[in-house]
Amino acid sequence: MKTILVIIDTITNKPQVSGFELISFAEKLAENDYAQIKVIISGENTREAAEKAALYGHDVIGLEHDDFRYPNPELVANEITGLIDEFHPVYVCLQHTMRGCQTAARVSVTAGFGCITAVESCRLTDKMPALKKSMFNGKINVDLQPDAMQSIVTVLPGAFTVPDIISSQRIPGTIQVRKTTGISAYKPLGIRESAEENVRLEESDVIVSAGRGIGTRENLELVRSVARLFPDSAVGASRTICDLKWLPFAHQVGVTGKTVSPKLYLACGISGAQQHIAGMKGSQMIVAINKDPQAAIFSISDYIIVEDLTTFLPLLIRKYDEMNK
Amino acid sequence: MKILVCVKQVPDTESPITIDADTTWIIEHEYIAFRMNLYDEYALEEAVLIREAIGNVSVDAISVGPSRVSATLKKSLEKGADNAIHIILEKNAYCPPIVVADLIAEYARHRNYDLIFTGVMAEDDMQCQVGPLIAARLRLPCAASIIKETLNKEGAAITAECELEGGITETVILPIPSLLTIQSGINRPRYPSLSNVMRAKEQELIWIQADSDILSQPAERVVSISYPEQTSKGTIIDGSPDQKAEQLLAILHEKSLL
Repeated sequence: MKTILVIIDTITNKPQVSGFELISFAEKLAENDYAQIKVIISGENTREAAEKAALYGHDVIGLEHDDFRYPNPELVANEITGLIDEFHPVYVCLQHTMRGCQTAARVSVTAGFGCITAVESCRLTDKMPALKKSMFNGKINVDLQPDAMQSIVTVLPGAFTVPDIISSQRIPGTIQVRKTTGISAYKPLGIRESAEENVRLEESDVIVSAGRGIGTRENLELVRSVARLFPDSAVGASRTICDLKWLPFAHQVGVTGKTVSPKLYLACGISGAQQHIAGMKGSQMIVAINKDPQAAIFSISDYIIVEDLTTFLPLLIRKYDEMNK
Repeated sequence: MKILVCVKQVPDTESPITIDADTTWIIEHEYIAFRMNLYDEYALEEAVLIREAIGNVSVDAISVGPSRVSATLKKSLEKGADNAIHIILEKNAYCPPIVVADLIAEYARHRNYDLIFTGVMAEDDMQCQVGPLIAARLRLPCAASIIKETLNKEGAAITAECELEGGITETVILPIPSLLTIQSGINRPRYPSLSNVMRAKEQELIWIQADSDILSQPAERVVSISYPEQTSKGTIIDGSPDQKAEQLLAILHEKSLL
């Protein structure tokens, strides 16, 4: 029977919930081949994370090592190479995070597998799956096929949803915890979370997000004021705003920041670069305000407002106050 | 100390992209403006900053691609690189990251670079592969998405801060030689200085033809290329600014958001 490996890493033994999206992707791939899925979780103490993963109905292997307390893409890569020898998987699936891509690349070279990245969907054919990704800032879609029967795949966070274990009745998989003794030259010393108060992007109903189009750091106050109109909201940002140090990275929405799917995503002055859209296109409702009528964000927006933020946001707030007198 | 910085030339994100008549790849028409990949600008600047800090460092820029890539390599010289190497690959088609990585790794292999920098990803394909692939090929340790680095005093190791996500960073120590992929925001890339612009004008690039064995290795292939479905579910909210504001508030109220 064919095997598909799903690789999930942890930070201080806690898996990112979005890692379980890979299981949905693997299940889609497995449809044609009736493959078995094995979920691999790395950490210092994996018992709790492994038990959570096993609920999704597939067997889990927890890999334990002191150097897995913090993410260790090189050591994970070494371990995966060993697992490939053991299980001869057809696919090895990782999240398209920076460290997921690093692990994928290293395994690709050491195991001699090809690698297809940032996959958003897959189409099963009678031969091999066609894996779809976007290129050129979302302007074109490309279907790629591996050159051989096996491939590493990285999946864009948010492209698949975490399986619903409540409605689909799944028998928990078995758990095997293994202590590993690998060595890698990459030595994590520790992690640091930003000193920012809890930003709660992923839990908020509404995200009001600022992009380069807000113009000045001072105009962020307008974005905060709009966010305050809603009972459960957070302020988000494009990478550019964080690189300028106008907001801490904890606010960043995008492929290297957080992936969010709030009830409302209000994009203010965001042009719609692919890396940003990847992090918010799953939002239930998208409203974009931008003075450029050709902003790429408009192509994925539910409501489009072509206006200058510096005049429109204060107007919006004033109108709201009037309506609520 | 020798640093190699890998740079990629990418279409500007505003440029229109058209699929060719055979639907095999895109057309390189004159409406595409090409420039240096944003993340590689940060990588190049970081290398130049190291040279300014410790002296006795040479910075080489390298790029793979057709003849138009020489403009980006000239720009690298203008931004402070000491030398620029062009691996010439004229094909207009999807280029697998393993091919680019192998071409660069082949060049770097016996040239004893202490550090290799790449941008964390390319803006046009977001694969995030070439840097870690080069590291794996050359058996170098690698750290990705670096937002800060410090060389230790003897230059035998480098302490780097890797961005995990959403404001969490991981500190890691790597021996030298190693490869780092550089994230935006690590520094502020400088404008070319007049003296570097003058030097770049006169300085020859180093040209190398791409190795055909590397080009012909098996790799993933494009089976189809298409424009995304026009979901155009977008409703334009029209009228005067006042009317737009009122309409937006009405919609949000109707959806029980406000």
